[in-house]
Amino acid sequence: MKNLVEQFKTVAISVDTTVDIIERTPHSLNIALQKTISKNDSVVLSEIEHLDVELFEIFKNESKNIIINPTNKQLANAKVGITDAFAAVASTGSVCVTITNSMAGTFSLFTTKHIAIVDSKNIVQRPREVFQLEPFKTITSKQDFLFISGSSATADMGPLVRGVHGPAKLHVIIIA
Amino acid sequence: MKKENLNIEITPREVADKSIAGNLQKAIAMALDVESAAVKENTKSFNTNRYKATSKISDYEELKSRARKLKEESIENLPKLIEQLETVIKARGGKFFLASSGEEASEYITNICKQHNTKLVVKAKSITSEEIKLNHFLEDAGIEIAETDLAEFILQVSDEQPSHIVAPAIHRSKERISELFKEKFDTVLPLETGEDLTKFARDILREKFLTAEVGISGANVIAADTGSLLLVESEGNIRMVTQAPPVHIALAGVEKVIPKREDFRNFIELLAPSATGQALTSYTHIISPPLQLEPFSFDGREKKEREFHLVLIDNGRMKMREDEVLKEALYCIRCSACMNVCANFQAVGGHAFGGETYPGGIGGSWEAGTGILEKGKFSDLCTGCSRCVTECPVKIDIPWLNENLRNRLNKKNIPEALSFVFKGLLPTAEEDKSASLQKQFFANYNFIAKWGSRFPALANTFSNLTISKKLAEKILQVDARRNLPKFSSNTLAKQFSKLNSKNVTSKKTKRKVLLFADLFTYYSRPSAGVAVANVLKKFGVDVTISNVGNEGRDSLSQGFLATTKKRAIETSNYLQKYIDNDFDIIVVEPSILALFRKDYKHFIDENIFNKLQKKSFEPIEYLAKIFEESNLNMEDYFTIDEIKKRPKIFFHSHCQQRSIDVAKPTEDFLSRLGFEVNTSSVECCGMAGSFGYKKQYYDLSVRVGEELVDQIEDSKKEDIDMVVLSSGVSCHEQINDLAKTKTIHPMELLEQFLK
Repeated sequence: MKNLVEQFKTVAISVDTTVDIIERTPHSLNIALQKTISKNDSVVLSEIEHLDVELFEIFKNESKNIIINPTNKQLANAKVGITDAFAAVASTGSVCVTITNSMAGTFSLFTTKHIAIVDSKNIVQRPREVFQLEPFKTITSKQDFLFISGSSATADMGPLVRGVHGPAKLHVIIIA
Repeated sequence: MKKENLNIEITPREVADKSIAGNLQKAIAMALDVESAAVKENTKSFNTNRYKATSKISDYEELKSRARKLKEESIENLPKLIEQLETVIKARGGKFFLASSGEEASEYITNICKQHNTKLVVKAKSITSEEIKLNHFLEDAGIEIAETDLAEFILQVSDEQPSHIVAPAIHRSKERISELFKEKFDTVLPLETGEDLTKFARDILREKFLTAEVGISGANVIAADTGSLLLVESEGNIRMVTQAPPVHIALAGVEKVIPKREDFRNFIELLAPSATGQALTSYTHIISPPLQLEPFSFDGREKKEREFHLVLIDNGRMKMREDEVLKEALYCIRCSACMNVCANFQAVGGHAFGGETYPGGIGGSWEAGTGILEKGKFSDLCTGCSRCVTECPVKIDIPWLNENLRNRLNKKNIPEALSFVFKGLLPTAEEDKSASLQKQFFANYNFIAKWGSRFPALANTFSNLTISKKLAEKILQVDARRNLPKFSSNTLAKQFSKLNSKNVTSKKTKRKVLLFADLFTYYSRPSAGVAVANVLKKFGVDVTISNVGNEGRDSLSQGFLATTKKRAIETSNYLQKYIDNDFDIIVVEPSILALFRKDYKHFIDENIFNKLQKKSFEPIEYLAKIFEESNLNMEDYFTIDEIKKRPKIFFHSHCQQRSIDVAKPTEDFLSRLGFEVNTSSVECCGMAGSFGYKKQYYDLSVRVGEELVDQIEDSKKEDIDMVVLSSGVSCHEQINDLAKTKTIHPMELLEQFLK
């Protein structure tokens, strides 16, 4: 598992992602999140389905600028989207996020910075495994989801441009 | 519309339809003048990245085989899969529409938009929508359509057709995009960097995403069991198009349907590495619309329920499915590997090497299949080099598709006035006789050369006289700037008979080989054949020279399939007699070895093909085999000390040699001997058999060759006398012509260092 975490980190960094590996405590998660968010950012937090919700308690209590159920207008203007990811893929540096009413797939799209939090136990070697292995298979066989690998990118305007057309930044927090 | 470039008064759109006489020529000239630099830079970058990315996939070949099998089975069972898909989509609350024509699909989509009083549609990249000219229908209905893929956004502004299947605006450099935006939009922004340009487009599009009533996307793959779509992108616009507006219409060709959602995994792992060389694109979605997601209303309007329409189009595809050849094009997953690896495509892109919608080597079959045969005329730019065959993730034999298109086009050709003179003279099969004189000439080059070789001095003088060159250019369209390969009266057979009389150091051996005397090795480059014989004899191999070959490479490249079949049967029957008597076949010319190992499967009995495939060898591949099987030491046979004195060499392997994977044995063998092998990194020299001799393709051939010339010249800066090796005769001619450098066959080099 340690190898998968390391491999994920190396590959993710190569596709313009920043990665933080933290201890499994509400305190660590709070620190990790606070240091990546600016005071004035409007932050939307999706429903947490694939991690222990208690991990978020300190963060929720301490943060005044998070919006749990944003209106559409708030969503369109939000800066940071925090979501969980039900899996991550080491060989591609991707996180897997559902597109459901938990809003993970939406909050990671409309905001300019996406912070995805994933359990280190849920890192697989390659993409095909999320279709083949449990517990991922239960999700991927039914729910809408996406692999997110880095910030948005385009090579249509000449050189490779990252993080301008779509989401600008992807930050992944791995719960060790 | 104002023309982009003052030198060329042609827009890509004007020359998109290659069924119109003269358009292919004009498009090549336009592309070489205006678009070549950007296309080259971008395709080569994709190409390099693909090689890197696919080399990291441990089971890449297995993945390819699986994807191929899945596509074969899907196309085989397509009617049933479509039925299943319809049921599933409807059960999920979606709407399903199967359109027989592009017009029907466009009308359906326009009607849906009208029903929702749509003013604005946001659209993600969909080449299929280009095929059916959807935008025209929507615009005619007064609906604004915003292309949100940045490349499509550029094309909408410039009114151009796609020039590449993955990066449709690949022909435009940053500078040309900047010029375009400044001309078309009222802006004072500098728009100098890629970031400036992207941000400029984003600011326009963001607003549109939030207010559009309808989003239209394509689909990379569709699963019949769940009605799921696989969508692959990096910009994020597909995410917006499928989530933000309440109505989502997905438009795709019927060939995109596969049985199961879980099988997406194969395409997910293949598509991005084969396309842009990314491990995965930034966003890979698997969705089964209508999304189970609350609808949005960003502009305060009343929220509408989510609505989903899947529009599948036939538009010729079901007919392609019935066509034994074109059926293979339906396996295409549109990754663009075949375009990025193609030397001709790298030089001109899809505005020349492409039609109104579909570009590249695979594009000819698509234009012909979804339109008329003549629209696929640009497939003539496929030289058959076969570099794409190994790179295609679903193993489509694209050159074979193009040879068939050529064959069909030849049959529709109206012969030139003079052709009756030649008809009786040339040994072309009846079915192939309506082809142009130029094609007749090159398809029968073996035959013509044999006549020439009877009077070599006369033939050489004659073929290089200005007057005869001009005649050949006028009648046969053979470019007068080229010199056809010379005929030597000191043929391979003559030189070989002298060799036989010499005492050769020989060990007792069981190996017997037949050295296949192709036309060029026999008459034009006998030194290569002699070297092969000499070196092999050193290892005790009993060498016999075959009759002069007439194997059908020349006729196949012109699409003369009946003629090729006849030649293939005769040649393989002749070779089989030797194989049955324990001979191995040594083939000097890589394009002919590729014919024996790959192309003959279309023409001869399977058993004979299997034998020939196993028993035919590239010379150094064979030598390496001898070394390995007999456990020999290099030092015992070669003067290693001499090699050490001057180890640097430049090697350009033949394109087909690389495609059948027999370039590496030469590189490895030379390296093991102590040579420092500097290999060319171009996909093809640009001559590609007869291609570079044709008047209409001369400029393109030279442009492709320039890069190889540069690499040779760079190497020569280190050592002006550096030995340049080439395995194929047409590469030899191209390098000789453009770099003014004589090349030798790798076996000629080895011959020099034999003990």
